[in-house]
Amino acid sequence: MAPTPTSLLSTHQSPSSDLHINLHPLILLTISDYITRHTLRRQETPIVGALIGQQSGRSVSLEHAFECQTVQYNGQILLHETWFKDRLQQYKDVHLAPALELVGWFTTIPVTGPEGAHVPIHQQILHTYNETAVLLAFHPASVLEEGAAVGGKLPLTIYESVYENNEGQGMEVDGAEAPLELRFRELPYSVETGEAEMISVDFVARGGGNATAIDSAAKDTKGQASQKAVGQVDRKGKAVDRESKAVDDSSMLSSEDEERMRPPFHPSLPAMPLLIIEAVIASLTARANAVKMLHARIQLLKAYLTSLPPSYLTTTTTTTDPPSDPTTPPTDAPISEINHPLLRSILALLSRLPLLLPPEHHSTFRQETLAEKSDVELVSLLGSLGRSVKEAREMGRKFGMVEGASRGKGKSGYMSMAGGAMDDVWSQGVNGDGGSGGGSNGEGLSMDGGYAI
Amino acid sequence: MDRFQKVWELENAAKLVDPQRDALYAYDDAEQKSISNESPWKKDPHYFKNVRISAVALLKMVMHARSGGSIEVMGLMQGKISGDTFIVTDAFRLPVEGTETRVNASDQANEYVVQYLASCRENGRAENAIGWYHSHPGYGCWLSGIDVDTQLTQQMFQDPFLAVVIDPDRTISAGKVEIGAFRTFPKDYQPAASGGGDGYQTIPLAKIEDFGAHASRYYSLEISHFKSTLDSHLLELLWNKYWVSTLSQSPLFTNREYGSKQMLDLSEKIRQAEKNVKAGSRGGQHRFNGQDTQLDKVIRDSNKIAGEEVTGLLVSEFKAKLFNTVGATIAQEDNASKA
Repeated sequence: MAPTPTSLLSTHQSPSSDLHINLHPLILLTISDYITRHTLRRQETPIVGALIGQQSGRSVSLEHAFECQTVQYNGQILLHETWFKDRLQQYKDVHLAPALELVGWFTTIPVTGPEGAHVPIHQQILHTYNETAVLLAFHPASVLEEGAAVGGKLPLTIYESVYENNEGQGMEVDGAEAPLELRFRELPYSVETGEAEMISVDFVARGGGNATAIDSAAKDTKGQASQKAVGQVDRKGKAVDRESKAVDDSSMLSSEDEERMRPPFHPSLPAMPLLIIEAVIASLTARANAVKMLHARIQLLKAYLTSLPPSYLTTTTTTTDPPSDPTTPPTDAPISEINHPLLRSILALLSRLPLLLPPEHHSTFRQETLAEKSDVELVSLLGSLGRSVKEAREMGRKFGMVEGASRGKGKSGYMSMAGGAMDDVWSQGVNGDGGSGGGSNGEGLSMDGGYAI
Repeated sequence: MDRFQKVWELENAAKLVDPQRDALYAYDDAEQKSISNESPWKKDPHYFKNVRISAVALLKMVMHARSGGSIEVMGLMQGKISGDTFIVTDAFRLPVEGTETRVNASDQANEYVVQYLASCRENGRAENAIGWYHSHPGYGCWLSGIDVDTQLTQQMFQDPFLAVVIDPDRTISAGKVEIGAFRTFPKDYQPAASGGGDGYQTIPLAKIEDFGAHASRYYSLEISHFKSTLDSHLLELLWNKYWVSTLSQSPLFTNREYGSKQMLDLSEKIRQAEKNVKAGSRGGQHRFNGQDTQLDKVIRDSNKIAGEEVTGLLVSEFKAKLFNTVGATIAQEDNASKA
């Protein structure tokens, strides 16, 4: 059931402008936060907010968002002019390096696209602040119908605005007076994250804790997406997201799995304190989940390719199949329509793979890797040396204590051993590790030299 | 009105929220006022024990801390109180120029705060400022002497108030958010000897004096974070987008500078420990309990660094195993098919 787009969407299928949007996750969370708060505090105003980010050439990054106050004027919803100006300035004041500008706004919009009510704010922003402002439309409806039509896509669309001739009429009116109308055109976007941002998103996503006021152990109802039947590849490859998400959900390692698997991963690990092993396992788990995701995606591509009808040309030169894949006849009903751009990009990917030469052929890269590896090994050697020193010291102390005690017993009753024997113990223990302490220090220094490369 | 609701999708938006599970996002002005009037924290310096931080606030604070690089940055948190818990719902930056070792609010910043909060209130966000955060790039989460004084003043005039410290450098190297929340004791209060040092952390030598001198003047709170149902839904979707960078990044490489700094610090500490041990052996009857803990600390530091480095190495080895053979295999098969 394809929703009919509203009249405000641009119908021109012009090769879309090369304006590229980089969306940061913070924006999503801000919107989500806004919606949640808005609902729970029973606010009646529309959900409208501004987006700030950087614009360089044709690429726009959306980095921060803040909610806005609106006013009703002549039945139109507009931004509160003075309030907005102050607020924007406040945000600009604290985002100086790199300087962020107003680059657009967000609101909640039906999946069908923007409507007349959304135009006044957009025009207001276009006129006063930024001529190329974009509109981020968040679709609550598509969050609700989970997994159905949207798949793994984020429930939002980003529009740019264009002025277009009203078809038909525009041609008749002669000359410069052609009435240009505001239209919205969908823009492609990609999600971009800084490293710190990614870590915290990951941290928030993995860490439990919902926002129940009283900490009742309400269980997360996760993994419902994984029950959705998948397997049918839809003809435009749209199912890519959906299927892999489901696979990913079910196979994501939980913390209980982490508990269970604890074989030594690395020669230097078994001696490591438990805390560090846990950190290593957490990092490896993240990697494992990513690999599963990669695997799922490759599987999906494979499934798509095998479901294609056999080649028109009966020769075997069409090498769009992955090399490892035996060209079995497709079991599903073959898809009649072939998506050529998709096939072409798969081919391009495959032909690029051999060019990724294994780094063994590059001596500098190899050297660098080796240097890094030996650095790390040195550091862990230092760690184990340190532990040995500690143990040696402990040993010396215990030995001294035992010896002192027996000697003390020999001399007089065991009551008098306390004072004298202790001193003995101390000096022995200390003598024992003066030397080894020096040794580990030497290691530390020489490693510094190596590390500074 | 129906039309209005439909165009702006308010009805559907409302359906995204589970009033039970997202209850922390609500705000009851009267309730907060009565809590504030009662001020139970005045009687017990240990009153507050927990902090809950919303996903948005956490993300904003970490990004801000990271954007400062090696400069300390600072901002405020908005939120509310519930029992012995601070609930941080949002955070905002302050126009403050810090240095590499300290950050302090100026009059200009105070003015900014007043304006910012007024703007918030006009838009229906009644939360007050309940704390401040700042970053300690590379030297761990604790309060310095200046921080303690700042926090003490705030607690005197603006209680309930909370101090949060974030270490962006360690966040990157450890792969998890390094954050601490603190409250200071009143001046005349002598805390009971703290039970155990479970929250052990590495403190660079240059800072250790500052750390030790004030450690008894504040205590840390338990931090947890929360997210709304909609948040978790979106985050799940986001994973579809950023798993690639999990595969492609290399912590060893991005954190090289931090790693070298850690090593330098460690070597200095080892030298000191060695000196002390030698002195102890000459002195003979030295009470060397102190030295032992010092050595212990050095070893823990070096273990920690080693752990981080090994993690990094594993990641790159893993990457090599996964991808390095791909090109070769395909090239071989290509050649085979051509021949």
